[in-house]
Amino acid sequence: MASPYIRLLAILLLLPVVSLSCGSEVAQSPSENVPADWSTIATQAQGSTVHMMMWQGDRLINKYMQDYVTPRLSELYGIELIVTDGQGNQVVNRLMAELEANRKTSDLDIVWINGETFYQLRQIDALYGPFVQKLPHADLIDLNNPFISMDFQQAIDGYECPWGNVQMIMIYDSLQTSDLPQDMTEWSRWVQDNPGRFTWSNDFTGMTLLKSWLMSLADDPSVFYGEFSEDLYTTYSKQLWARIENMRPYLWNEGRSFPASLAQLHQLYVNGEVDMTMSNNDSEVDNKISQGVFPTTSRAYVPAMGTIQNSHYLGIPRLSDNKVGALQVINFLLSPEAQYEKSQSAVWGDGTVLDRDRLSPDWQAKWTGLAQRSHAPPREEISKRALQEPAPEYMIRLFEDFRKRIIEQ
Amino acid sequence: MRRAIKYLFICLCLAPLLFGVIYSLGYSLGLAGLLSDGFTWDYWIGLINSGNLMRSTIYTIGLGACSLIIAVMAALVVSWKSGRYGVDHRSSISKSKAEVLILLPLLFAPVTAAFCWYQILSPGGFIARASFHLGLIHETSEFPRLVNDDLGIGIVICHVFLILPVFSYLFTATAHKHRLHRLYLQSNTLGASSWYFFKKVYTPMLLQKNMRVLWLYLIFLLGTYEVPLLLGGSRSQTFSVFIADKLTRFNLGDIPSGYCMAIWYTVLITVMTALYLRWQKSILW
Repeated sequence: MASPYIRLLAILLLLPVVSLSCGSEVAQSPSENVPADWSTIATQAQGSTVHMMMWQGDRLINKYMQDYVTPRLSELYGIELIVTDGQGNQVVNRLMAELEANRKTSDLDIVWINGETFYQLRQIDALYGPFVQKLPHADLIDLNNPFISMDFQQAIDGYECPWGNVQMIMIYDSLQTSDLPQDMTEWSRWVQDNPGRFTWSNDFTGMTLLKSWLMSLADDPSVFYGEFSEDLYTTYSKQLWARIENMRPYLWNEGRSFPASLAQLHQLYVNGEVDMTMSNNDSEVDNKISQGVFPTTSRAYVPAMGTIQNSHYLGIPRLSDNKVGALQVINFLLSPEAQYEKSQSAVWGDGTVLDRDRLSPDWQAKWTGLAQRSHAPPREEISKRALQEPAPEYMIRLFEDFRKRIIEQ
Repeated sequence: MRRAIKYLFICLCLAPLLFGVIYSLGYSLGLAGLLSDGFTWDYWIGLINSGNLMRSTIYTIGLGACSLIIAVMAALVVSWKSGRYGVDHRSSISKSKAEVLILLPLLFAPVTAAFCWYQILSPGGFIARASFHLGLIHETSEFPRLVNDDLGIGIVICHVFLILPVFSYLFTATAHKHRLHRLYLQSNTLGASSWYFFKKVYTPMLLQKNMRVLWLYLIFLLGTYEVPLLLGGSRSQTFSVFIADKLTRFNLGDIPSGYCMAIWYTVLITVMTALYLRWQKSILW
């Protein structure tokens, strides 16, 4: 007869076996009886609590949510918004764990996502939708704009709602650097002329630069739009790795290592170890100067080869049990009032997803008078050099090959 | 009461641990996860063929062993000095200011310590800037690479900084408990030099008495995350950094590779611990 301890352990160990056996099953959503008409949604959302997961790494963004969004939602709809910290992979891991555990409801009602996260959440069928057309303020968005309606070349199909729009910029110190590289050929030359003064982070932002370079190697970057093409990737990535290999001895730390995150790259820039840093948020330079992080002589530019512009979105987990509350919150975040507040440089400086032509004359006038940022070129100007995000597989392959062909060599 | 404690231990400690190991194993073999397609060795084969398994193993154990050896050697010297062997005849633990100072690093969280060492050792850091102003180097970039380097020098320095106080205090307390000062005086009277006593009695005795703690610290060092993440290079990754990287990157297909590494790490620690226990048993017998 086995000892009682061993029996207890055996019973407990059966749990993972049971869990594994049902791990691949898709969890059922809570009742999806979201009313069709907005007035019923608004009534049901009144006084509810909405849990939102978003990246909280920026003081200005946090302030916008805490000091503006939360009190306004409470004042207008009696909704209590509870914001928790988490981004990209944390959102995916959280929702994936809930689905794998066959939970009936999610802890989250809204998630702040973009590109690769949307791709992953759609892969595991973790998002509720389509819901965007239910939102009254969705009429103010130009959903025919490919920078809004396509997320990493994947149609959003109403499964995520555009919230803001940004473009990648390069940041430099205007006192130290003047001759700015405009394409990959010039970059190679610039790096050789300034040995040890340039690098990029081995993360999303760094890979976005590599994507921009990759696309610039083609005569027409739009060949990268659409579904992933192995042939296209192979052809141009060969050129990309060859150029990076040539550039490598002149990179920071002779290309033997790369900063693990954008924060580390910013640190190198602030320490004066490199001449340039970068950001996927075109307002970053103004934000960081106002926070006293970057030197006031820092400036941003978009090279002539173009950089990737993309939107960021709000999604509703399929297992959320307060979808009506989530819809009301998202609709408010899309309102001209909330979008205008967010667009101000001193507040967040995020690009709006609203089509200004669809706004009322009052709001149009207000937007026209919006103070421009002072350390980065105007958004209208850099938009002329905007590239669409290619399919997510390009990012995945660049990550893998960057490690294999550059880092590990 | 004892039985209740045993049940509690099984429910709260053993079962969750085994649950996690079995789940990870299932994931690594394609048996768990929303995107699993059924049993496969592909993830294990891919991990082995990529060289990442071997690279991470050598890198992690190498860093852990170097950090431990340097910290132990330094702590032996600190405890010897703080015990004032060969200086005067006080047998009590010294309460000097230096001893208080050496315990200060215990106040640092690993992530804070890593940031501090980054600021000190990087080419744009304090030492590089001071060297530049003193004319020792012409540009801060000439400063030798001590962080984000392939050898993990910054990681070792930071680890030593974090664990040296613990070992120093441990060795000092052990020496005090076993009255090594009296033994030192006796051997001194019989003609043994301080160095002879340190080499033949003090060091072996303290190491033997604290072997289990040293072993636990080695395991702790193999699993650290923040320090190698911030101070490590890009070429090699420790177990923890590799696992976190695979579990949190953009490719959901990489998650099983992370679990493979987690299982390998568990097996490695288990085997090392079993060998250690066997070795200890052989010493006792």
